[in-house]
Amino acid sequence: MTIASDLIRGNTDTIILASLMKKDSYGYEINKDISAKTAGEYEFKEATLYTAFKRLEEGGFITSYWGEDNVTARRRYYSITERGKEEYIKLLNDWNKSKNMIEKLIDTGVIVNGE
Amino acid sequence: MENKLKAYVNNLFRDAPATAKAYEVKEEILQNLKDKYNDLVTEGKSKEEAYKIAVESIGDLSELFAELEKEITPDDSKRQKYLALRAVVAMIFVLAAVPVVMALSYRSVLINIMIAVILVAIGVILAIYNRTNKPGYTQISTQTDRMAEIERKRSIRKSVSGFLWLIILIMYFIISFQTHAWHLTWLIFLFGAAVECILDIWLGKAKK
Repeated sequence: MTIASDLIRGNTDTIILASLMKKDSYGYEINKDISAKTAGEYEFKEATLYTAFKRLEEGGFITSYWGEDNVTARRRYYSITERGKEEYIKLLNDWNKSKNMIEKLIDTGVIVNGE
Repeated sequence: MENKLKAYVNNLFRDAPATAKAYEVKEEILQNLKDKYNDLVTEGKSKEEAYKIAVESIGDLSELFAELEKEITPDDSKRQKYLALRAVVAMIFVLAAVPVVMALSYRSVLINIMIAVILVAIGVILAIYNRTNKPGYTQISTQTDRMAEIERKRSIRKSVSGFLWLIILIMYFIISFQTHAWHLTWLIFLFGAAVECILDIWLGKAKK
């Protein structure tokens, strides 16, 4: 969990937008997907997730609504907006650019194939 | 164990601002924790272990609270004021029943009925005034909306005034016929004018 968690946290918004690109989802489901994709190595804290939701909603990148599918558990679903999709593309481009830059800056060839 | 989770989250949100949004976020987080807890138990974790993992996944809420704090808009304080005043109105109506009961069982019938009438009148005026401040869910942004708002307040102000004078007239006759002190009872109209002045200042301020 500690590995690179700061690096990941810097991309919280991108990760959330990315998981909403496919379909509307709620907090726990998004976190479960992230956990599954990282083989249980990473998961957002509730605090991080909801601070991000709030920020993204204020920015008009996502909207939310109460889902009516389940009677016992009322869940708030989040949905990406057109603006959110644009923002996602922009953030993804930013990430690709900085990824290449950082790689060039920090890779000295000391570690080859994990050795 | 679900109650234990609920108690834990409630305790964490003690320091959260008292807004509708904060309450919703709390409910959402609690629901997530319940889901997580149930999944963990299904996976074969012990109840204690599942509870511990769920609680640890909350993280530091201070940043979220700061975000929620930023959101305390005039609308929120307005909402709180609205609810508080509504409670006061309810209390006044309940209190008005006391002199009515007194009037039914004691000799000082007149004075008790008067008190009841005054209390009801105050209650109704407050209730009408409170309606003007009922917080809406949409923000008033355009000029036309603002004009409509002022117009609405003006019409409510008129109905409050009409009601006020009706009550005063009724009281004037009740008191006068009971006490026969016609040389004094006309003073009630001065009292009414004073109340109307106060109402003007009050509602005028609310208009901004």
